[in-house]
Amino acid sequence: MRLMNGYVKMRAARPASMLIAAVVALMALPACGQRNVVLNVDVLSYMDATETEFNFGPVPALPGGFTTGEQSVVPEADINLVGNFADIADIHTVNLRIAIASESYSGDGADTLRFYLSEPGTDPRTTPVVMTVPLTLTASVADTTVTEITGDERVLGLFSSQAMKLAITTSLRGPSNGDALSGRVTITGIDATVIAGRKAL
Amino acid sequence: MAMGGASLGGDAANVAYRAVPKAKGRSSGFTLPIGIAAVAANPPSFDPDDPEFNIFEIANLVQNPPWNLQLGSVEAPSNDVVIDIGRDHLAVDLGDIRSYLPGTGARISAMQSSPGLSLGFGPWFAGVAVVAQYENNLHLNEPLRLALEDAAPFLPQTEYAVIDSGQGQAVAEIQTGAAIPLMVNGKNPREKGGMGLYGGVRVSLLRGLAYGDMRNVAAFATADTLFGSTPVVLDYTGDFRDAGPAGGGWGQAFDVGAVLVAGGFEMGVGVNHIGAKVQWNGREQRTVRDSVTGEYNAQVVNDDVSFSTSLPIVLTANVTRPIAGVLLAADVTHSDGVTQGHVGLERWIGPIALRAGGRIDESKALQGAAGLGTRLGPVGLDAAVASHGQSFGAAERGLELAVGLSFYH
Repeated sequence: MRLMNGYVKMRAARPASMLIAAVVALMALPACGQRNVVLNVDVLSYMDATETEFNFGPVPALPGGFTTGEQSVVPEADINLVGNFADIADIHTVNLRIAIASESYSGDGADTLRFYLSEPGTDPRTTPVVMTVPLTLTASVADTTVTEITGDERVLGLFSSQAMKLAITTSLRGPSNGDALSGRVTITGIDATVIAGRKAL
Repeated sequence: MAMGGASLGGDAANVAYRAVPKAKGRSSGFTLPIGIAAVAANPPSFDPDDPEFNIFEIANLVQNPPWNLQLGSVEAPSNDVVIDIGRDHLAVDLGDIRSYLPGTGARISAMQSSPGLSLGFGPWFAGVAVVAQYENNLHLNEPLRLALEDAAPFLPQTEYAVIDSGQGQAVAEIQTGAAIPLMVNGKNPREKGGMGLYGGVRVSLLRGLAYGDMRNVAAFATADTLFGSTPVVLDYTGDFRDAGPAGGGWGQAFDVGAVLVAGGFEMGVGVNHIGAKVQWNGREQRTVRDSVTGEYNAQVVNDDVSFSTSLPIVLTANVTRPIAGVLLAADVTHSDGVTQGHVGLERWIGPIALRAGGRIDESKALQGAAGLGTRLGPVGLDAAVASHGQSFGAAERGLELAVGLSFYH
């Protein structure tokens, strides 16, 4: 029994792969069954190391503590992402994880770092703060603070886009008494994890 | 199929068989589309929002058309795909999906002729048949292959591209020719001491029915710094050319074959589609991305383009010989740079035929088959299970069940 009359069928190379690269590699890559596409964005890498590390002080002791008000650390950093990503994947969640190393050389106090994200044409600081990280500074103590949040709809939309802007500010409060506050803050990691589901061609 | 696809000789592949006396107990027939019935009863979802949507299942149907019943299912890879990006850094880990990638390239091609409708007048004959041929080539450029298969980091100032090109055509063949005994010894060449040498030629007037080709390129280029001043944007262009029946022109082809029958031994050699060329008048289109709107638009580049295509030459050689009550058959086909071999055995025990066979497939892998057949008068019913390596992305062999009807001479 022949399969069909006059039938000649030929294949070469690895036959299993005929359509998949076109489909999977570039367009339907998120369509891997029920599984996800995980986009890890090293946001910190878009900034120079000099922008994400700063010294402060001396801040003299005053009753109630001297406050610097909100000062810019990173005025605007361009974060370029994967173009068309939103076309090929449904972004479900975005998780932001920020790690900050702080050290007080002298004096006690507190700092608050704020992180803003916006569309490319918008000043990030005119948009709602995305994450607030309070730091407690204790004399001669080095500490690392790790904070995580899950982004809201606006942040989801930003990570769906081709690009966005980031701004970081600091608000320092000095000691009420004792030694003047001085030290250093280093942002050691800003990592975004985007979980996306399939979205066909 | 139960005999591993081994040919017992036929005039479609070797025109000289028209002159060879039919062997008693031989049959011709066709397989029933039981696989299509199964798919129709439980069709795949084409809605990407449907939880049952499985693009791997769809791709498998395209790559491995379900004429026969596939004994198994296509499981989608279960892993996540992980993409790491940062300034000057991009890496993609596809996990199990890597096994679906084409490596240095994947090519699929097929050619199928309909059974010819013909009339004979002595050694002369005339008839009509339709031949359909297609091929597709998928290629990742080297940087993209390394990035996706080896999860190598993407590099600056590099173009990453996947190119998929394909062609398909359907051509009517208006055939005429002759097949004659060249040398005969005895009344029946299959009897002991008998011998027959047969030759045939077939000239086909070709008429194009439908044609299409395409070249799709999906690519992106990285700048001096990955994700530095500009985002990475995937771009796509597609070039298409097609022609319908009105654009089908004329052409010609030439087939030649010879068969030697000596006692129980039978050997045939056929060459089809010598010099087969067809003229076409068609349309060229290009799909490009509008840089302003971002939408993809198809633009007609030339609505009256003339071109010609060819059909690949098919070489077929086959031998059959009964040994101790077992019919042994083997053949080799070569076309378009691909060679395949088949070997099969058949043994009748009462009303039941036991069959087994194997073949070296296009990937040079050994595949096996086994089955049963029975007949009631001139009509037979056959069933076979065969392995194949055509399942989309599967590292293991697939299995399929075929059921067919045979008509005995």
